[in-house]
Parts: sequence; structure tokens; C-alpha cells
Amino acid sequence: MKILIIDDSSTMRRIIKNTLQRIGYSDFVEAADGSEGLAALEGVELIITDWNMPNMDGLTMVKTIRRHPSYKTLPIIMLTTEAGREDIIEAIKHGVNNYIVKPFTPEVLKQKIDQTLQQKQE
Amino acid sequence: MDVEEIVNPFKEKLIHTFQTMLDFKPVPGQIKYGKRDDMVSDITGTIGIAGDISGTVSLRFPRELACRVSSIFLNEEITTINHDVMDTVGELANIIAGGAKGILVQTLNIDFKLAIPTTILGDGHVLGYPAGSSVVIVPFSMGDSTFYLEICLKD
Ligand SMILES: [Mg+2]
Repeated sequence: MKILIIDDSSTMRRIIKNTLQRIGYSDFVEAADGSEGLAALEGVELIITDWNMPNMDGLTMVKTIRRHPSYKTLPIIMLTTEAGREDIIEAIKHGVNNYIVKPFTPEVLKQKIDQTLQQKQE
Repeated sequence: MDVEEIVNPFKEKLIHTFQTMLDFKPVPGQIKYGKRDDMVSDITGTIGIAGDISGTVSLRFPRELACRVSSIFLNEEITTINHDVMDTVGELANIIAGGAKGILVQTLNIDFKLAIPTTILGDGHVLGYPAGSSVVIVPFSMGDSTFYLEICLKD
């Protein structure tokens, strides 16, 4: 499964990638902001994206992705520091399937991915 | 506005972040008020906040400790300041400020937006602020090293 990892922090992208490798995933594409993310959607089956990024933030990117008919059901997990309840409600309203609040543990990342992919199958 | 009530969520989130991502619990020391020229650092991750409260949230480390923190964060040996260390320090400031925002919205109804983090490098530097700002510094010890959480709020 091809996973798109979007975060402006290169260390955070590496930590996410290392964690995903440990739980059995191996096909990744990386992007440093929302617009780079939009350009890298080809063949992607799961997106894990940060919220707070320069140029185009994660929420704006999600709104753009959801406007495309072919990406209506593409699973998106938002990885964010923005732990306010209203922020989370807003993200879900705009098409985020699941969210993880930073700092996260590998267990939480795995659990949220499993949950998100399972929801898609249902 | 009680400054300590605002600073506490940042302190809490710092400890939580270090525990979760670095498996280490830093010990907070006595809070200091006002700019301190004796509290120097070599690398600072800083993030601007703007909204019901505005200013900056900074994490200030000595070189060696910043490398140690990045080594644990990335699970690889890092001995000199490089792009990874600079990125780590900025991202930690981002995670802590974002987490504190979540707590502040819910407990005190204080909301703000986060800017993009910046990292400053320079041996033995201090941070300067505009006149009329309030500065609060919380020292943390990690083994035999000290780093600072420094919050500057515009009046
Ligand atoms: Mg970010």
C-alpha cells in the first residue's frame, strides 16, 4: 500500500516512516507541505498529513482533495498538534477520516491506521 | 491575567511530549520572570502565537543536549548540530505550543493561532523582545544539563 506522508518537519516525516516500516509498510511518498502533497497523489492509498505547514496547510489541502470525485474516499489521517476539540471537529467535517494528536506513540499510529482502513472497507 | 495559569499548560505539554517521544521526564525548576541575560543557550526553536494571547514560545538548548534530544527522537547517533537537530528543536516547540493551545482553549477559553516554527543557532545567545512584553522562563533539567522553556507575551 502506497502511503503519502506530508509534514513540514523532515524529522517528523522520518519518525512516521520509521514507525510505519516497523509495523509492516514499505511504500512511501513524502511531501513537505499541502501543495507538494497535492502533486504527489498519484497511486496513493492512504494519506497521513500534518496540519500546520507553510505554503498550504493540511486542512486546505484536504478540502482541495475532497473536491475531486476520484479522491472522495481516499483515507486521510490528520497528524496534528492542534488538540482543540473544535479543530478536530472542523477537520472531520472537511473530510479527514481520523486524527492523531502529536506527540504520538507507534501503538497509536498503528491503531488509527487499522481503524481508518477498516472503516473504508465497511 | 495570571501568567502562571497560562504558562502551566506549556510546561505540562513539554513534560508530556518528552515522556511520549523521548521516553524521558525532564524536571522543571523554579519559574523566572523577566528577561535574563545569564540564561544563555546555543540553539533555540521558537514559534509565534497570535490570538487571545500573542507572543512567542521558545525552547532553548545547549548544543550537546540538543544533539542528545535529537538522537533519541530519531533513534540514531547525532553528535553535531545539523539540519535534523535544527528541525527537531523547531518541531518540539510546535508540538508543545499546539498542545498547550488545546488545553488553554478548553480550560480558560484562550485561543490562538500558531505560526511556523523557526530555529536560531548561535553559541551563548539570549533572545530580545519588544519593550512592554512579559517574559517567563522555566528551566528544565535533563541529567546534568539544563534547557529552557521561554514564553514571551505581548501586553
Ligand atoms: Mg508542521
